[in-house]
Amino acid sequence: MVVALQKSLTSAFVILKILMTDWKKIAEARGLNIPAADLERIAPSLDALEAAFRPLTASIPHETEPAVVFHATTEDVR
Amino acid sequence: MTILEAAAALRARTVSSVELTRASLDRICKLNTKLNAFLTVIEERALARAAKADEELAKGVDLGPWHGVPYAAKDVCSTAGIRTTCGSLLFKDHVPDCDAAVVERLARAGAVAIGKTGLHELAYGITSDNPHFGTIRNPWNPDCVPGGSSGGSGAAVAARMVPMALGSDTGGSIRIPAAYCGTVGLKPTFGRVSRFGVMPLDFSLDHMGPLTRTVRDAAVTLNVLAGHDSRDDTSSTRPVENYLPGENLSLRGVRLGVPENFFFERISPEIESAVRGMVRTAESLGAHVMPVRVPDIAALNAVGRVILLAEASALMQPYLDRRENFGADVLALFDQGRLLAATDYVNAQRLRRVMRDEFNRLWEQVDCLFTPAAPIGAPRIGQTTVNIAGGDEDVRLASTRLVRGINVLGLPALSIPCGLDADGMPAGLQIVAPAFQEARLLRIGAALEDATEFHKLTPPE
Repeated sequence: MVVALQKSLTSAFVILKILMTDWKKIAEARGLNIPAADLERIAPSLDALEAAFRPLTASIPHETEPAVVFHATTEDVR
Repeated sequence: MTILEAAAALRARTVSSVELTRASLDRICKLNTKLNAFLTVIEERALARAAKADEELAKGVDLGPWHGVPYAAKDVCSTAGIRTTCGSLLFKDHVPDCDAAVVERLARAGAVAIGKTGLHELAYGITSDNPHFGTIRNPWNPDCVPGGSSGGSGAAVAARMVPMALGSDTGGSIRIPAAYCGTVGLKPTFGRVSRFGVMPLDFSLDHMGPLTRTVRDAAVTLNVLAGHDSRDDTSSTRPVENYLPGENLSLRGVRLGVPENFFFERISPEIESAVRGMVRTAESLGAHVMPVRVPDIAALNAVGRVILLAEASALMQPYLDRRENFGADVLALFDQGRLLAATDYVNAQRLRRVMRDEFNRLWEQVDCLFTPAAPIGAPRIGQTTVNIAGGDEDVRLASTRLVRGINVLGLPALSIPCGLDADGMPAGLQIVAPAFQEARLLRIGAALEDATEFHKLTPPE
């Protein structure tokens, strides 16, 4: 029973690790000079932000444009 | 003295601008060793400008209430010929050749620039515990942070060194120090005050505004700062108003929204009690208090964080290989920004539009929102987590979670003192209004101030 539980927990952990973003690989691929210890320190913040942010994107209406030059009212008065 | 008291005294000839400026310099001399609020003091230049203001006023040249009154500028505001560090080693010897628009406008109004206030490194944090220029301390308790990033401005105003100090606000950097130091802090609508000449942290979230002792002082400062500036692409051409509230104010007919969700969850009981006390005061002044459900602020905060991380890192990209020039906390944020996906940034800016439209529907029900500005009183220097309602939370995330989303929406917001917590540290009420409704915001704030005494509380000396 205990062994079975341990096995399933290990499998869940492995799946979770696969689903989680590998920030180290991203940093390497982009040629970013971020030391491994610093990457380890920021990974939990990035994981949490990604988990909070990514689900929101599913609700964006397709035609919505980015507000890169943003105006606080809908009518552009400039 | 407040700005308006100083203006009246100057015109009654009971004080001169040189005396006001000298008094400010004396306060700085007395307290700056302890508080570290100022990075640079420009004594000679300030006294010369003050003497000129006295001459002008004596000749009947009157540039308005700011004429001859001293102030300080956060050290992100470019000042011609005066070092502007942004609290960073990278800019420790940077001397701009022109003034920021906000400095320019105050000079045209006759104000006396007295120095530059310290800040969290690169305006990217809320403790103002700066590894390069020293820790800024809270005048209410020097073991506590003043908030940030405009921590020097908050400390300078709270300690009566100046009646106003300019701040910048990207994720709460005016309202957090205002709340933690017991001052008024005004973040105007995005586009209302020019950002020309201000060292940017984030292209689409930075706002400029004042920290003052009273709401009317914030209003009289906004009267000078507000207006179109073609040098800032985001500057609005919408006409400015006279923002100074009158006397004998009533809140009759004001629909005051009190959020049922998010804003009062996980906050210190004393802060909640102080803010709800202000709601009752507003009701007694005629406001119609309405419980409302606000759109998803946690989502708004996530959107704000993605935008800030990405834009700030893009901005600082050329410097990021010189890692030894950055404090560890700030460097960690820049590293995070470089790792985000471009698609996340674009989608965050798309979500921003969606959320603005959701919030606009809220303004059909209410004229303003009352919320706490921060869920806690000022944390202690070096404190990394805080226990709120039985759970531990990162101090930085706790300090920003009630204010950050308002930057994403670009809405005007005011923090005013509303009491003290159990440790004797100030509590701040945040009032939020629809875009470009600064006059309404300031009228509500002034009415509350007239009915209460919290703005008169002073830190122990």
